[in-house]
Amino acid sequence: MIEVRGLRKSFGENEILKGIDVHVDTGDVVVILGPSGSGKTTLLRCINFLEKADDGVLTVGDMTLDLKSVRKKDIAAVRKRTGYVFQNYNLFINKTARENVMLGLTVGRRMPKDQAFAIATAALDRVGLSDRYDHYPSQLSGGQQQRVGIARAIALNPEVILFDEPTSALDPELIGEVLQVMKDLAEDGMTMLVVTHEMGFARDVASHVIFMDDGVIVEEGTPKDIFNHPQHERTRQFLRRILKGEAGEFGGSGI
Amino acid sequence: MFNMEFARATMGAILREGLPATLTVVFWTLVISLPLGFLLGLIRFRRVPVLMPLSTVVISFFRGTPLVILIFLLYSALPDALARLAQIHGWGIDVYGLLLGSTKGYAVFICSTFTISTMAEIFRSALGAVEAGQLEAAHCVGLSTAQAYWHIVIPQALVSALPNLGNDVIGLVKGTSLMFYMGLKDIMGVAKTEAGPAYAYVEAYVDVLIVYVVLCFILQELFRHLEQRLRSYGAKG
Ligand SMILES: Nc1ncnc2c1ncn2[C@@H]1O[C@H](COP(=O)(O)OP(=O)(O)OP(=O)(O)O)[C@@H](O)[C@H]1O
Ligand SMILES: [Mg+2]
Repeated sequence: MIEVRGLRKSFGENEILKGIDVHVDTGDVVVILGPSGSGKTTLLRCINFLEKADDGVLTVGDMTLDLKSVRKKDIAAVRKRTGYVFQNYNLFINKTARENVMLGLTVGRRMPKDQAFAIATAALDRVGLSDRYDHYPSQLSGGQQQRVGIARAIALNPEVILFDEPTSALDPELIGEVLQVMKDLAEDGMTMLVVTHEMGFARDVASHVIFMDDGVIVEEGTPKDIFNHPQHERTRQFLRRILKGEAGEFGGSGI
Repeated sequence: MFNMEFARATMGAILREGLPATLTVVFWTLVISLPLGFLLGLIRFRRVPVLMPLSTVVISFFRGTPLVILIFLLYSALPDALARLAQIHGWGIDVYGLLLGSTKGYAVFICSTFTISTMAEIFRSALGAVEAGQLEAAHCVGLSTAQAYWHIVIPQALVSALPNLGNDVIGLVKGTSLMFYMGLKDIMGVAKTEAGPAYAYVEAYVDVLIVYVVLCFILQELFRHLEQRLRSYGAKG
């Protein structure tokens, strides 16, 4: 279980997050929707301390932290319990796929090499990359790179994985393979907090959908609530625009 | 006209005495400058308080001073000043013997001052060229900043620094040709010594030219191969 309450974040004069509450139960998939610049990335980055929040309370499992005054130890503890999947993958370019997955185990957790090797291999198998263990990121397609990114996160056995638009840097024909991996993870009971513009994924996989705009949560509910009966004009506008784009461009992501 | 016999004899002397001296000075300068230049570059990249502004002054000085002036300052002015100081305070140290006892050693010292400075800037910009996302991803999989630097950031920075390092080493090799001012018998020093009495400067300088061009070509190829091998992971940049 992971929860943030009253999360606030400003960059200089600009308040980007204006008091955000998000709650993800164990085994749930919470999808965050919202227009560009609404603060979705900043929200995920604050949860994982890639950005320092100005205010708010974070709960991960049995740990509760005041985000105003976190210590290094707390940051390490939260990161140990959370995985992060980046929009642009951020694979270690000087490491092979398997080394990418192993590094957090061998160096971060001081696990023996052979044990980490086995876990990394299994994680890559799980995302369908059994034939790419020793490839460098530059030798992989975007979809394959992002699947290594997911393997890197799951190998550390996190309690929750944060996904920041995992498919938005991908060519349309590669989106499906990554979404399928995420769908499989969700079915296996992984707790996930996912920022995405993939409406098909949100509708089919999410247990809860949040619509964010301009640093606040405008509306949230089940996928049915949000997609079939949106309460707010801003939500309706956003959905109209996105769904029209999907239908027009490539008819959805195909899952 | 062009005295082929003399040119050949001088080339022999250059290769026997001068080349080893040049390579020795270059080698020890690199042994000193690579780690210290890297450390200084890291300090500057991480903007370590106090050390950062201090290093800016020092680096600007050594990078900006023409080598001839630097040699004059460090070879003449500095020992003279220290000797005066020692005399005034009655320290009873033989400053000249201590500093200038080994010409090669002092040449290494002078070369290291500016090589450390230029390398610090090379390493600083190479560290800056590593994408921020690499460090963030390392943090996210549970690495400390030090671990992330050791396994991810520094290896990538070293590879991307190689072309500039190659240029810097070639610059250093050519820079050592000014060390004859302080009596170093390097490639240039030997050539000048041989050329003087015979007044055959053209022949000697042609020899020098050939040796430096070949030497720098070899270094250039060496660095190219090194980069190709280390960049086998296919990173762009
Ligand atoms: N490091 C930063 N410094 C200053 N402003 C920032 C920084 N990071 C983000 N912002 C600003 O914060 C706002 C929200 O950015 P954020 O990346 O969180 O939006 P987003 O919802 O993820 O958008 P997108 O869908 O385009 O990814 C933007 O206006 C952005 O310019
Ligand atoms: Mg974003």
